[in-house]
Amino acid sequence: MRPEKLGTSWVLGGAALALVLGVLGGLWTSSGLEKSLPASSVPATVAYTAFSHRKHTTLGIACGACHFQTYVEAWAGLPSVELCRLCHRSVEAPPASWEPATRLPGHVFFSHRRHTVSGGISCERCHGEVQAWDAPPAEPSFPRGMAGMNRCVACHRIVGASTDCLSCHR
Amino acid sequence: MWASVELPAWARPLSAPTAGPPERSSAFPTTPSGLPNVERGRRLFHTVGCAVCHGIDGAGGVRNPNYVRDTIPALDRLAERMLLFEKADVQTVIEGLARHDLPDTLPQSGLPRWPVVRAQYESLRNLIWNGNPAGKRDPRGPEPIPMPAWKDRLSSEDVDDILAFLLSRSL
Ligand code: HEC
Ligand code: HEC
Ligand code: HEC
Ligand code: HEC
Ligand code: HEC
Repeated sequence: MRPEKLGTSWVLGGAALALVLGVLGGLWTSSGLEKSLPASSVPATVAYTAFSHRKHTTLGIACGACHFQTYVEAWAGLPSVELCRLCHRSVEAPPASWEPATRLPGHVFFSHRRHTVSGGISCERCHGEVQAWDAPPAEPSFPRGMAGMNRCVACHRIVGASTDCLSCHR
Repeated sequence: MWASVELPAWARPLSAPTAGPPERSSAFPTTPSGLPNVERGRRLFHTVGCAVCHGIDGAGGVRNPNYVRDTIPALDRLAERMLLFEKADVQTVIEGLARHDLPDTLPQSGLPRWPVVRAQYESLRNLIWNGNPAGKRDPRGPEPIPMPAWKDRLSSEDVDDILAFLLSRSL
């Protein structure tokens, strides 16, 4: 079919079709918008200590995108405030003394990389349902004391990893 | 290999280890390429913040409220966007990016559409450097997340390495 032979009826038909599609499209997006949009878009001012995992994982941000260190190093660490500034105009930094609830004492050695990459263990397996956290947790997400040690050792027995005191304690 | 990349101060994690020296490693769930500039780009991509919006390895999928599209663009098909459809051509461009002289050496590279490739390279660099506002779906709705400007946070070499990493996704 040669284009110059299409004639005006095709062009008019096309325009009418486009109009119909446009109107339908408009209806579709306006009803879709109400469902898909959060009440606020990107809050301009936020406090680091008010961070909500739920709100950010709902956006589709992967754990490893903020916690990349958990794949490359023993120490997980916490994301820098600058990371937040990519989206929020103003971020109130946490006080220097601020610490996450989940932290082992110095006599225990634990490597994230060893577990996430070599072990292939998901974050949720140890930290629980982080996606549901609306605020930084008050309690450690991996238990402290003997309860914690028992969880480490129980899994090590199952997977055949070391249960030698000195592989975890120094 | 990645761990040896010196991060800018602002990208370093907030807390310092309380116990022992961290175990160093170059592992990540995707296969390393063996090219130093690609590995440096991969590390930067995942630590300076690109991956927060564009996804792990540039796979996309992060929602952007009131943006014309539903999600922030994926970047794992960057080679196609630069009109590089042959692996050998992607390789040529990655090598130019490693030398940081791509615009000057493209004319002698033997790439069939080099002027277009160069124009795409310049426009990508410009977009990363200066940022870009995101188009609104509903004009009266809230402001979507924009592409931030990186010129104060990344060097010209950093941007070349990140582009090399993204291109390597098509190798
Ligand atoms: C990819 C962009 C993006 C990044 C990066 C980001 N946020 Fe957000 N943040 C959002 C969006 C979008 C919302 C609104 C989500 C909602 O309401 O469901 C939000 C909501 C919040 C809220 C809730 C505010 C309120 O009034 O409800 C806090 C607090 C917050 N972010 C803190 C942070 C911190 C701290 C960081 C850095 C660790 C961070 N954000 C990184 C996009 C981002
Ligand atoms: C947008 C960035 C972002 C994403 C995505 C993210 N986190 Fe976090 N994470 C943070 C910040 C900021 C903190 C420190 C504030 C807090 O504890 O909520 C943190 C803290 C944590 C902590 C320590 C909490 C404590 O106080 O003990 C764990 C564990 C954690 N994140 C796991 C995860 C897991 C698992 C995922 C994926 C389901 C995830 N994070 C996704 C930014 C993020
Ligand atoms: C095998 C169990 C296990 C797995 C799997 C695991 N973690 Fe942890 N995580 C821990 C323990 C134990 C701690 C306390 C570590 C310490 O203090 O050295 C911790 C601490 C953290 C912290 C706090 C860091 C700080 O500054 O003290 C973050 C953030 C975190 N984990 C994120 C993650 C993310 C993200 C993943 C998945 C990619 C993950 N973890 C997978 C057990 C685990
Ligand atoms: C859900 C299962 C699971 C849990 C829980 C777990 N680990 Fe492991 N751990 C593994 C696996 C699997 C490996 C072996 C990884 C590999 O192949 O390198 C491992 C390896 C190790 C190693 C290296 C051992 C060696 O042979 O050198 C240490 C140290 C370690 N874990 C400490 C801990 C500590 C401390 C905890 C609790 C805070 C813990 N693990 C909790 C599964 C687990
Ligand atoms: C797989 C890792 C692992 C192995 C193996 C292991 N531990 Fe532990 N141990 C831990 C963790 C984790 C804790 C909890 C630290 C905390 O949160 O206080 C702990 C705590 C302890 C504590 C202090 C308990 C408390 O209430 O404060 C003692 C004592 C201890 N372990 C002794 C041992 C001895 C003895 C062995 C060998 C028979 C051993 N552990 C083997 C991981 C391990």
